[in-house]
Amino acid sequence: MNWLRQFAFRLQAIFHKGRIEAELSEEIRTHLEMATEANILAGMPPEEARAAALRQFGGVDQVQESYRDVRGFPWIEQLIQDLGYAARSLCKNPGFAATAILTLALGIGVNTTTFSFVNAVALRPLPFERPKGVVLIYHTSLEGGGMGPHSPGDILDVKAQNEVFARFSIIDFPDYSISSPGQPAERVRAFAVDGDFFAMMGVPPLLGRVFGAAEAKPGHNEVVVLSYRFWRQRFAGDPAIVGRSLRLDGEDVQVVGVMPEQFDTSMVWGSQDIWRPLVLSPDVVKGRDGRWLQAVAQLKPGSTIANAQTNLNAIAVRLGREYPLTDAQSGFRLTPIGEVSVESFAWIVIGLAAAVLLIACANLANLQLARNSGRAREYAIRIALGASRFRLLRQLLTESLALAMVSGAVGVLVAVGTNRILGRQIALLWENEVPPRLSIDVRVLGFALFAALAAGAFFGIAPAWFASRVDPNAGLKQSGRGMTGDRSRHRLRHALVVIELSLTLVLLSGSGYFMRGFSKAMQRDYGWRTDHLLSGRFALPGNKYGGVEKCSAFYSRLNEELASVPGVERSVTCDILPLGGFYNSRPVVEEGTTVASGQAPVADSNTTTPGYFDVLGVKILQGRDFTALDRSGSPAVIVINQTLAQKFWPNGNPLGKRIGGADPAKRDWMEVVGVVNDVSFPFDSNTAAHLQIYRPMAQTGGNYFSVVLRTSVAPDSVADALHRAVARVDPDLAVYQVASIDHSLESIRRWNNLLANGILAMAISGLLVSTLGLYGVISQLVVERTAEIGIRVALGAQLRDIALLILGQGVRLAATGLVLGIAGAFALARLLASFMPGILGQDPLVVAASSALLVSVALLACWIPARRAARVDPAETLRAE
Amino acid sequence: MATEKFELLQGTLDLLILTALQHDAMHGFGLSQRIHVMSGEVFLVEMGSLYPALCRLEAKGWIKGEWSVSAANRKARFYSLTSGGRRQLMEETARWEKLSSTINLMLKAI
Repeated sequence: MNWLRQFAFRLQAIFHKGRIEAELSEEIRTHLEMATEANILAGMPPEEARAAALRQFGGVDQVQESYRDVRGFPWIEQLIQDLGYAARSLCKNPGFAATAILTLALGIGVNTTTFSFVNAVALRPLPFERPKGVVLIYHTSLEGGGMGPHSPGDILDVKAQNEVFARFSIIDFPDYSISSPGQPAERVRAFAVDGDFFAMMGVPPLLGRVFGAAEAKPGHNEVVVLSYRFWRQRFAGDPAIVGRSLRLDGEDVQVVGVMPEQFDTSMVWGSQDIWRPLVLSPDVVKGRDGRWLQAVAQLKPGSTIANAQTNLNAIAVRLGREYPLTDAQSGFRLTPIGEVSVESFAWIVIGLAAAVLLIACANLANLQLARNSGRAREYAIRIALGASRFRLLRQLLTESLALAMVSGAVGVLVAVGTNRILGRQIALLWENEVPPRLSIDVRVLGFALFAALAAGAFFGIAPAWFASRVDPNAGLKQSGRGMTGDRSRHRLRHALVVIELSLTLVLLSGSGYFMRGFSKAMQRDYGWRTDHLLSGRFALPGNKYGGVEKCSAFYSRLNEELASVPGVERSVTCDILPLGGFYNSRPVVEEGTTVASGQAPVADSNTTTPGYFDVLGVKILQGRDFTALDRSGSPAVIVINQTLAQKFWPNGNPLGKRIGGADPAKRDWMEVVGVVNDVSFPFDSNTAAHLQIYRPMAQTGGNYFSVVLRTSVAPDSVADALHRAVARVDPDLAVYQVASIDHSLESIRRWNNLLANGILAMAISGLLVSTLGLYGVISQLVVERTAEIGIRVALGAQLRDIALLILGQGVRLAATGLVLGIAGAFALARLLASFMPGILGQDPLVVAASSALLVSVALLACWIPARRAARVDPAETLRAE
Repeated sequence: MATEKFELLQGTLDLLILTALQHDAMHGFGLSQRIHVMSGEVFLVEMGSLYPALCRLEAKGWIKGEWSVSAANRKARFYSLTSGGRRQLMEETARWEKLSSTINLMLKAI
């Protein structure tokens, strides 16, 4: 407890400073008086007696100084002193203070906004308490890595064979159509889970009950749990919802519970409308080709992620041996739930934002150096008066940190503003879903504080170091003119400006890469026409549409129904539209060659109904499109693209040749009936042309597919008619994601613009700050060389000579910065190219344009002080000497 | 006045102050005189050491200072030992004796 008493005792000193000091003075005065009296008694004359007492007992000021060290918290008092001094000296120089605070606030603001974006989309923890030992299990492939879904066969084996999990849930994301009498069918996003999913998550329901493993069985799974949002939106938060029945894909199911709002998180699986027990149909449980299932599991007490990983690795090896065709490359990866890794691409954006802060810091260090060289005399005096170097260093650092904290606060305000702008853009992008909220939470504030402290230390240390090295002797002897500091300080200032300029060029080029790369990616010829197209998605329920025949009948009925809709020229259905990529791919083998298993080339695969090429404007180069005669039971046919035709039959005619699958035992030969041009899509990062194949939907079936309508009118105006047509074919079925292709392209474009504009904003901030820095350095140079310029003018130098002299200095700095910056810009392009090959990459035009911009702005920044220098009046400057 | 000055060992001044205050409460000047006399006019404690030391001891709760009036009718701050200070003095004295006898022993041994 002793330290506590000492602490309290010292603390008093801070609050009762005046009283304590007065008491001490009183004590000392008494002491000296007594000593003086004692000396007089000893026979000294009175004047001498007092002097002797002072000599014997030491100076009053020293006593008070050393007393303060014992009595209070000297460092706190000095800190308060330093802060007060910093405030005064900044107020005396409002120009410096304003420039410093604004530029640093800009840097911190940009970084805080970037961080709050990353925080919102990636770092935010689960909104409910993170369940213990729960991991997500992903499928990986040995060559590609990645974190993908599982095939039913694989994941059921993992579930049965693992030795490390206490609970295990397989997750499917079926889409259901939900309908109630008198209302159009609506598509809902469901989350079908088996095992004790809810028990594992540990979140109790808001209303009713949840379901468990016992209900994930055929005949028992007619129950659903609603998400909070869906319950509010669709049922207006009806408290009596539990026990009601819903019609899901034409089946009656009962609502047994509603989950609380915080469970409806988009951070792990995306937000859902309903949860339902998962029952895998018997015809898929053995499948290992298609992968679409997720899995989540809870570790047994005592097992760790590491030994679970070992266990799954062993299972993967076993699966690879047993099923070499599908699982030779398979592996599994575990991640704790609620942990999201920031994508490496996001790190680039963070890095670019950090560059802005770095520029602001370099700039401030420069301003500080310039200011210190003006204050060198003051420092010399303070050192001569006995201030220790450390004390001086500390005081200057305090000043920098105080400045940085104020800038940090202003920076957070800037971030609040930019977050609002960014938030609005993001809300547009998320359209129908709940967008991530950009909020300034504790973590973001912590980040801003950290950025401010780091910046303060960064731009404070070097200038403070130089300032504390002032030689009081030299500093005091020289008068104002000589106080330009030594050459090393000049070199440092120049180096800082060069760094600023080169970073700015990197930023400018970076923003150019994004803008040009994205706009080129969007304007490319995709090999199909995107205008006047409307599309929508379907998910046919398996219970009602099992098998190729039933599905096929639905496609025909739908297309017939749509043919009579005014404004629709033609409609087709297909597996997928080439918008964001081809999701299906399969190995292809030409007849008559031998290919080792696993070596067959892989082609993008699509299935279509007749008329697809016509509707999309894809050219048929050879042969024909599918017809109504290519149906189930007739010979299997295939249409291939130009690139595949070139690859397999560079010289021959592909028509009539046959293509098969990779499995030697089961080739399933298909006859090539047509060759079409290559098709690509926006943001296709594949630089090489794709191999592509098309199969007739009438032969393949498929419950998940798109409808595409070529319209003669604005495509969005047909959307309602599409919904009505679908309801006429099947009133229980919903068509969803109905949007024109132009609209889909527009949202891709919006994403791009957001990213490109964000980086542009960073680049402009960087340009602003570094130009200011260059201007500052050149202006300072002019001030320092005023006398010299005066002499030159007196000796006959022309205005032009002087302007060129100053401009030359600026140009040298700009040129050095440019060279370094160009190197940086090329390095950045290489880095970006590794993330988005074919879209981002080297672009000399961008680098040239950025350099031109930087040079012209830099010249302007030098021109103003150069002109000022040229107007120096020699008589005046020489008189001032 | 002895011109010869001894550098006091760190911590020794604290012990001297506690010893000097053993019997009476004293003000700062009196204390410095007492130490001067006690030491056979060897130690002269400067104010710059005395007052911080008093402050330190007060912070530790071994002495306490109170404003009072001196015999010469002068207002002064009088310091006296607390019970904690008395205990400390005993401990310090014992430790000091052990230390000095050990050092003496070592000096003689050489």
